[in-house]
Amino acid sequence: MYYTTRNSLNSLLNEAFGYETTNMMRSDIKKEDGNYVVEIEMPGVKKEEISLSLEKGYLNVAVKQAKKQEGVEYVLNERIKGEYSRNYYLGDGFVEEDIRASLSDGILRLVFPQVKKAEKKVISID
Amino acid sequence: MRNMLTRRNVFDDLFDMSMFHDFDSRLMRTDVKEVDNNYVLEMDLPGFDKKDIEISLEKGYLNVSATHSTANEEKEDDGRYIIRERSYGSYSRSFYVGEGVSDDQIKASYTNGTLSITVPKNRNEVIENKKVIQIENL
Repeated sequence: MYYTTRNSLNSLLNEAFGYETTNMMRSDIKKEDGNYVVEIEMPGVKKEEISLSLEKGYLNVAVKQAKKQEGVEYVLNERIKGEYSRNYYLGDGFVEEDIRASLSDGILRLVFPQVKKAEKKVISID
Repeated sequence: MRNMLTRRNVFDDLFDMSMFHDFDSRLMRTDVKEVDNNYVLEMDLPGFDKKDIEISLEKGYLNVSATHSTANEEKEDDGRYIIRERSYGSYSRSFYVGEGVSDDQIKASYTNGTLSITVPKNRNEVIENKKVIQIENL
C-alpha cells in the first residue's frame, strides 16, 4: 500500500484559519494481523458526515460538516469545520466490501487486507 | 492564524486564556461560545478514553489534561507502523474562569472525540473584584 498527500476540498477554509492541511485528518497506518489499519483523527465528526468512496485504487475519505452555528457568539474559534478530504492509495483490486470502517471517540478506523491474493497477476514469458 | 490571535485577544478580556509556552496549536483545538449564562468549551480530543481525561479547577484556572493510556504506548513500540502522524502522550491546557466558580457548577461530557465543558459566566465576581483606585484631591 502506498500513501499519498491529501487533497483539501476547501483550501479557502484552511487559508482563512492559517492552518496547514497537515493539521487535519492526521492518520496512523499500521499492519495488524494481515490487515492494514488506518486510523484517522476526526474529532466532533458524526458518522453521517463522513463519506467513503473507492476509485481507481484510491480510497477517498471526505467530511462534510455544517460550518459555525448561526446566531452563536464565539469567543474562541480554533476548531476546523467545513469540507475536507484525503486520499489513501490502496492499490487496484479492492472493492468496497473489502474495507471495514468504524467510528469511535473521534477516530475513524479503516481495516482492509494487506494483499488481495486472488488479484495477483502473473505475467507469462513468451 | 491571524484570525485566531485576534479572537484570542478578544477572549482574553473576560476569560483570560493561558497556555504553556510550547503549546502545539494543532492539539486540543478549542471553541468557546456563549450560551445563555454559560461559556461552553468544545475541545478536540480524538481517541481518548473518558478516564484518560482529567479536568481540575484551581485558583480560578480550569485545567484539562489528557494522557493516552499505557496500552497505546506499548503498541507504539511494535514497529509495525507505516505512517505515524498522530500525537501520543500527555497534553494539558488551562483556561482562566475566575475564582468565583466552584467545581460543582462545571459540567463536562465526552462524545465523538470532543470534550464539552459548561462553565457559568462569572460576571458578578469580575465586577465585585474590580478595584477602584481613588484619586485624591491634594
